[in-house]
Amino acid sequence: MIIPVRCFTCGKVIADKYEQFKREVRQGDDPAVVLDRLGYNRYCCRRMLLSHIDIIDNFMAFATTEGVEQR
Amino acid sequence: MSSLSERQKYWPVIESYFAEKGLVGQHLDSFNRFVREELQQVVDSVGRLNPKVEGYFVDLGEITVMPPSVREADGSEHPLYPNEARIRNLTYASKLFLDMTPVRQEGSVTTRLETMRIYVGDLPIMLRSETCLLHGMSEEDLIKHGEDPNDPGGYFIINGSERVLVTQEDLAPNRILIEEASKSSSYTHIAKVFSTSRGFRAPVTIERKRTGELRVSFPSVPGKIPLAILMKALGLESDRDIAEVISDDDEIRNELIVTIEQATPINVMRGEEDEETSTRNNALDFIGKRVAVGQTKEYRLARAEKVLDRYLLPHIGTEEHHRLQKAYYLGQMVERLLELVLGKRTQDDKDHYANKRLKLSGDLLMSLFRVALYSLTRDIKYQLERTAVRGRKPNIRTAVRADVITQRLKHALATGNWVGGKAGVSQLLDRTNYISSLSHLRRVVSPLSRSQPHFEARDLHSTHWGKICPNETPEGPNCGLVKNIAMMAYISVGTGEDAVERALYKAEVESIEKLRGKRGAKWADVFLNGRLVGIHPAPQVLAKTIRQKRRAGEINEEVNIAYYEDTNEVQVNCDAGRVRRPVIVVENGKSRLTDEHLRMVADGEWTFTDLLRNGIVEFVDAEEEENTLIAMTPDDIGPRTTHLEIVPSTILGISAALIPFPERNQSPRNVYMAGMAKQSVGVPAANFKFRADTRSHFFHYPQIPIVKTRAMDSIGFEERPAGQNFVVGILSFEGYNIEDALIMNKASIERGLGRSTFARVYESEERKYPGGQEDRFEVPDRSVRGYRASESYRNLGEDGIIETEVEVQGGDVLIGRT
Amino acid sequence: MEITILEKTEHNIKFILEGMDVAFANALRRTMLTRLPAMAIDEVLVIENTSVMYDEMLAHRLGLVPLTTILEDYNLPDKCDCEGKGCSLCQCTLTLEKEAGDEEIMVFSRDLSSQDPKVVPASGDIPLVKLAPHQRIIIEAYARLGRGVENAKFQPVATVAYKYVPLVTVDKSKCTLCGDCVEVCPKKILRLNGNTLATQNTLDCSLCEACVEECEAGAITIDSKPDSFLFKVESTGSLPPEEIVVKSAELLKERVQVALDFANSL
Repeated sequence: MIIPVRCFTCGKVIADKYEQFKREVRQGDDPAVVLDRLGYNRYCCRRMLLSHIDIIDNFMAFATTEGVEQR
Repeated sequence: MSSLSERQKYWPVIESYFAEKGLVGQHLDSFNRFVREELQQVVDSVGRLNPKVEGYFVDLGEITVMPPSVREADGSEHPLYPNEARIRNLTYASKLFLDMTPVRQEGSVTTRLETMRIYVGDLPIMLRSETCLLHGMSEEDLIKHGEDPNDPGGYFIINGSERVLVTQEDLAPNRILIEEASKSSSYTHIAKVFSTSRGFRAPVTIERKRTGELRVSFPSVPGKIPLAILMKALGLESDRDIAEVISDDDEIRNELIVTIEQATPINVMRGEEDEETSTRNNALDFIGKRVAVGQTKEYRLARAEKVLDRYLLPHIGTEEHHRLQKAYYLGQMVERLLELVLGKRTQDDKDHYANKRLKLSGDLLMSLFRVALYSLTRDIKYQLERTAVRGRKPNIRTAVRADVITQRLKHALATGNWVGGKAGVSQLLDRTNYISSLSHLRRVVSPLSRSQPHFEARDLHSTHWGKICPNETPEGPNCGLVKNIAMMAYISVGTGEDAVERALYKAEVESIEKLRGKRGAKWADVFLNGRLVGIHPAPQVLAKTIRQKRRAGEINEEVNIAYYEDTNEVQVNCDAGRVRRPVIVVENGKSRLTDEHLRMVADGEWTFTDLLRNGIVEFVDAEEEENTLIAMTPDDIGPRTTHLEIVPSTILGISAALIPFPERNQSPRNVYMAGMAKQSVGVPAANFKFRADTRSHFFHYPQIPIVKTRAMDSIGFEERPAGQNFVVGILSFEGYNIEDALIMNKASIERGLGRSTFARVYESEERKYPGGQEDRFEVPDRSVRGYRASESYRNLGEDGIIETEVEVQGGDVLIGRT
Repeated sequence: MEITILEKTEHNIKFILEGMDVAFANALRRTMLTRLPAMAIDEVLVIENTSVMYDEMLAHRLGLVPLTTILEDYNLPDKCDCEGKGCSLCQCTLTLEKEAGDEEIMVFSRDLSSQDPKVVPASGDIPLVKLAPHQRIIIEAYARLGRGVENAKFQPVATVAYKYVPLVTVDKSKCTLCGDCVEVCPKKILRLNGNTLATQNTLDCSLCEACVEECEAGAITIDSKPDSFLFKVESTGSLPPEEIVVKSAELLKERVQVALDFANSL
């Protein structure tokens, strides 16, 4: 839905760097390099960022119509 | 092995195919064809209502399907969108209007009265079909109507629940199957055909006894009739005629002696015939004596003729002039049977996919609608007769009760009990996750019983390649009987036979009628949908011409042709229910799909249809595949190659395509994975907040796999993901090894690993009872009988219904009804 | 007992602990992980939430946001005079109020306003929920001290790990200078320096012994120093890492004392 606050396995806070990670990967950087740069050395934290899907946007598309209807 | 980019470059073709057909294209196309053509055909087959009212009948005209709508309790009517139907437990259905013209006949004067458009019932509508309100909507509009844009459609909404009509696998109708019998049976060999016409299934069998005699059985006639007598009854009076219709091979004719001698008692010498006694009449009487015991001779003869027309091979026709054609068809059956006896031919393979047809939702609805319409016509007739008896003027408008069709259709779809006693045809759509929904819509079930072994039927057959997923099948009693179609498999919806037949005659096929059934051994027999239409001297050339015409678009692309060298026959098919798959055409050792084409497809300049129209890609069915040599990769193309596989991994189904490196696994592991992919918790639909499924799971932090397959992109798995990447430690140390279980880390659960929400619906109704009592939703008063501790009602709102987002415990009241 | 700090950053500390056995090292690790209290949001009052996220999930996310903790300022609820009912001595209130205008907005942890300026999210950039146009959340959250045993969100550390201090010795008389071990070492500890095999960053050694297996001459031995451990502590930001170590050691001492007192009273 939205990036988990912490790495499930080790508890390191990961959510705060997700936007930066996404931005830099979109700019064409290798995800592995970005992760190293952000200080995510363990594979548990790396998978959190690599395999996340922001699917909240899909749900919000519906919420918009609902909000409009309510008003 | 070619490089990664080399292997990936064909995927845009597959994506263009999905973009055009969708992932459930077979259901949508089948339903569209049902609404567009078959609905009217069913009405036309009834044609006219003849109530037992003097000088009055009703002609049925055009049937119209309206856009889906709902009629409210106050009588108002408005368009119904699927999500409203889901939430309010309504049926997503359209009104059917039928043109009816009452005709009055007085003496020789017939007066056609005014045509009336009458509401005859509701037809449930398949989501995303042409009739559906969502058809052709943009993504924004879909969302506005509360619909997930990624939802594939292809199911119905009956009383608020989503129902899928599961595709049924069946033995191909109207095709001759020859088999050797088991040693214990009374016959040695058997030829069988399921002649099916307009929903009526009439099996015809020819058995060869140990003595060599041939006997035919068909519905409505008790017992078995000697073949020669039946042939004579059909109009082939002389023994020479019979022999000619069967074969010109002496060995085969030898086999016929016993059969022909059987008919001697009824033969009438040439010159001895008169009005009453002819060989044909005697033969008819032989049959008449069985179907109309103890009646007069005239009646017996008339009855025998009727039985032959109606119940013998009805797919050829039910008129008098079809009788000879039926005789030719029987001749064909006998030739095959005797060839098997003489070892000139092998048994037919029942499990070959060319001998299977899939019945899609359109076909299933057609058989259901036919029965519903018959009962409506019966009901109308009864109503008309009743008004007539009372001496009133018959009024067609009041005689039609729309409930008959509505209830019939709705009941069958809601319970899954189909006409013909089939159960479980309609099932509740599996919404565990996106993949499970897709897989459910692509499921195929075989009607064979679960309890018997049927080893061959459960086995993977080589003709399943590209059509049926080799891995996705349940374990246990349904193994191999419940299947799933492969990614690129597409099921034909059928096209008109007449155009194909004309094309065949144009390609110098000699018509069988002109030849009066006499087929030489040298020329190849040509069959169209299992019916012998003629013979051709150069079958290879014929097959080539037809294929070229198909690629050029001169005949429908659904036509498939195959030439069997061993038996020297040509099979042309254009019927519905064949599983077909696209392959790239290879000509002169070169793939017709060039890099330029690939670029155009990838850029969206060309659609899949463009490829099809230009003869670059074509669909082949199991039968035509027997004539092809399909290269797996471009490097494999040799001088004799006819086709090239688009992407070999599309032999897998949707679920098995999610497995990374399946070729490196032990095969049962792939089966387990394909099954378990459908059980994983994920995001079933984006509109989950606007749905009221009785039970649903929602996964909060779904993740995409780190190792993914190319097919996942095409299916859209990453937009509706399921599952998470767990970090798992394996400790198999000194016996401290736990099989099949995990010890979970408490902290990781607390951080949100595997967190999901389960939702279920509780419902209640305010009712009015006779005697003035009525239910009310409220927070109950202390005086109400059965009042619980006020604690239990603490979370109820003013309206007596539980507040949103409050914590409830066991025993708490969710709805206060008094 | 001797502690040598090797490296210290804002959230991490690396030190060598000498003169203690494994039992103590592990006890220290576990104390840091599960016994040392830290602040975290424990109860959430959702006044309004029209976002697409369920209240439970929102509360869960809030709970996982690390809060800066001053251990002296708050009592553990079970040790507080209010007997756990919640008072200003054991509870801190944070509020969150946010409404999206015509554009969708992201609610971050920095939008939480705290009653106590010393108890604030350790990182302000944690996205909590995305709001579609005109959606609104009004939330009151109560943070308190808690221990890792209770819930992982109270852990002041992300990871605490220790390993033996490695000893890499090269027998120069046996070494053939083939260089195979240099290739095979995943941590790049061995290096060919002229005509000797030198070692570098030996503390990085993961004790995999790949070099020992590779060396046919048997010139390399990998061993570990007895009773000395290389500790790595990674804080979530709620407490400075050195404070975590110090406070945990104190806590451990107290707890051992309790056990000793009990044993003596028997």
